Amino acid sequence: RGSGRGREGRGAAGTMLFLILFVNAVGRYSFRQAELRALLEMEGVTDAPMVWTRDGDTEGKDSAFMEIELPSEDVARRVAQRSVCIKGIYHPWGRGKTQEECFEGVKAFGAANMEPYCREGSTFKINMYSYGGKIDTAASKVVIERAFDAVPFKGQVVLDKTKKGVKAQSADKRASHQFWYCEDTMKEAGEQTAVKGSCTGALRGVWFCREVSTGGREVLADFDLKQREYLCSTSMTAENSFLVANFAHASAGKLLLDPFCGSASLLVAAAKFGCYTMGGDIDLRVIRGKEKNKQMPSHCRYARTVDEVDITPFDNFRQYGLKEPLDIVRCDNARPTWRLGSLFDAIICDPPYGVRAGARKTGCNKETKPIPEELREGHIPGTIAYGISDVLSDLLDMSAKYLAVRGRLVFWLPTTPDYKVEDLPQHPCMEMLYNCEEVVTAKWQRRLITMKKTREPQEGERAVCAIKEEDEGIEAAHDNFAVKYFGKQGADRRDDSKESTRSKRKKRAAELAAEGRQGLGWQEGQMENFQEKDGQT
Amino acid sequence: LVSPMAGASDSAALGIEATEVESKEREYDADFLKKMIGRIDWASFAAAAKTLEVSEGIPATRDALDEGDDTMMRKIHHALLEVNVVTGNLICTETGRKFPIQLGIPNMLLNQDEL
Repeated sequence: RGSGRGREGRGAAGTMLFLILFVNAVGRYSFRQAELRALLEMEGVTDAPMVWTRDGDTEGKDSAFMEIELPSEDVARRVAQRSVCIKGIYHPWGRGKTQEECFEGVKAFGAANMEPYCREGSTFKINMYSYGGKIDTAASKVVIERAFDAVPFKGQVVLDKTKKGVKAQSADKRASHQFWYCEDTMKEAGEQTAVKGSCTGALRGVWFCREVSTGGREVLADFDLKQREYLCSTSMTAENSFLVANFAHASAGKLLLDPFCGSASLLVAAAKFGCYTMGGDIDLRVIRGKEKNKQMPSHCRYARTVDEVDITPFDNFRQYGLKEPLDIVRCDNARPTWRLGSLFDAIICDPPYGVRAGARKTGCNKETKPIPEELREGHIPGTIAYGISDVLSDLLDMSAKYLAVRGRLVFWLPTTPDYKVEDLPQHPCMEMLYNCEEVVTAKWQRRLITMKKTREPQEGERAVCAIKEEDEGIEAAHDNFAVKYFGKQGADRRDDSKESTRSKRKKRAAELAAEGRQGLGWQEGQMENFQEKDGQT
Repeated sequence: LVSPMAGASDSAALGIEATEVESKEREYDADFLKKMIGRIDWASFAAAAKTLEVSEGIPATRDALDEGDDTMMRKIHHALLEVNVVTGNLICTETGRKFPIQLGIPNMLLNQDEL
C-alpha cells in the first residue's frame, strides 16, 4: 500500500483514488458497502476497485476508511451527497503507513496540482480525524507545521465548526476548501496499543486529503420523526427511510409504491429524491388520518369519521414541500388490486410482522354468513392473521408482476439469529442483490433486502419457499416472529385473530386487577369503541 | 386498479363515478408523463376522463395522441395527475360491485362473504 500510485493519484485506467470515511454503524456494518454499491450502480459504475483499510477486511467489519477508485470527482460527489452511511469523501494528496511517508507523498503530489485549492483569496481549514486514537493540541501542531511545509497555502484560514465529517452549523461560514489529516489507529486484540495523542503510535494508515464532499446525513436532521407532522407507531426513522430510498434508486421521474405505507414515512424519503409515489394499506385508520385533539393520548386520535380528520399522511409531504402521493389506496396485498403489470419503478416497504402492527388480510375464521343488504354499506370486512411467510410470498409475486423490468424491491425483514438464506421465498423473476444484516439485540436482528426484477413472469410463475408447511418442526427464522420477540403471552395479546377485543380487554383487566394495578381501562375502551364505530363512516 | 375478487378478470377495468372532485396542481413533467402514458391503459383512462368531464382535448385512442402537441399533453397531465376524486365510487364493470372512495382513498377491500 505504499506510494505506488501515479503522481496525481490517478490509477491506470484514468480513475481517481478517493478516501471514504464511513459512519461507525454499530451492528450494521454491512449496510455501508452495500449502500455504496447501490449508489454506484445509479452512476453506472459496477466494478469500482474498493479496499477497506484494515488488512483482510473484505466486508468492512472493522474499518472506518475505504480507498476506492472512481471515474471522476463528479461521481464521487453525487454518490456521497445521497449517502447516509458516508461521512465524507476525500481526494488523498499523500498517504502512507507513517506521517513521514504521508507528507512525502503530499510533496510529490506537486505544487501545480495543489495550487487551485490554495489560492490567495480562498478560505481553508485543516481538520484532524483519528479513528481509534486521539490527536491532541501538540500533535495537531506537528501536523499543521508539516502541512504548511508540504503545501503552498496562500489562502486564509477559517476555523469553522467542521468536525468529524459533519458540516458546520451554518453552511456559509464553512471554509471553501476543507483539508483532512486522517489516521487509522483502531486497535485489535493483542495488538500494541497506539499511544494516545501521539503520532508515532501503531498507525494503520495516514492520509492528507482534500475534501470532495460531505455525506448526505445533514438531511436527516430536517426529516427527524420528532418534528414529523403525521406519525404512527410504525413510522420508520429518517435514516432507515433514506437507506431504503437509496437501495431502491429513488430519483426524479420514477414511480414508487409502498404497499404497506402506513404513515408514508418511506414514501417521504423517496419523494425527497424526486419520485412520484403511491401507497396502499389495509388499515383505513392510518391512511385516512387523525384528529387533532390535545385531550386524548395519541394512539386514540385516529379519526372516527371522515369529518373528524384533521391531519393525514399527505401533510407529511406538505411539511417538507415534497410532491404528494398520486394516490393512497386501502387494499389487501393478499388480493392485489393493481391492474397493470410493469407499472412501478420500485416497491419499498416495511411489512408488518406482528411487532408494532399485526399483519392482516381479509378473511374470516368463522364460517361466513352472507351480509344483509342493509348492512353492506360501511361494513368493516373481517380480517385474519397474515403470516409472515405469506406476506413475503405475496410481496414477491406482486413485485414480479407490477414492477418494471430492472425495477427494485426493497424491504425490511425481522428475523432471529437462526436466519438462513433458505428462509426466504424465491421467485424466478426476482434476483437478490443485497441482503444486509442488522443485529438489534441478542434475540433478534433485521435484514434490509434488495431484489431486482429481471424479466416478466410467465403464466403461473409464483414465489416458492424452500420450507413448506408440511415440513413439521421446520420453520423459517422469521415465522411466528411475534412469539419469538414477545414470548407467547405477549404475542397472543397482540394477535387479534385469537379472540375478540372485548374478551381480551376483560381478561387484561382481570390480570391487572390481580396484580393490584389499574389498567388503561378507559383508553382500551376507547379503542374498542373506535373499532365498532368505524363502520359508521 | 382492478377488482380483487377471485374470478374477476385481471383486465376488467373499473368504472368511476364521483360526487366530489378536486383538482390539485402538480408540476408539469413531460418525461414522466410520457412514461406513464406508456404504462397505463389508455381506453380506461379516456373513459374515466369522460365520466369526470375532463376529457376535452384528450383523444379517445392512444394512436390519436400527439406527444408534440403541448396543449394536448397538458390536458392529459391535468386529467391524469391533477384531477382527484374525493368522494365517489369505483365500479367493477363485470359485477357492478362498488368500491367506495372517501377523502380520496379508494377502499378495495372485499367483505368476507365475497372472498
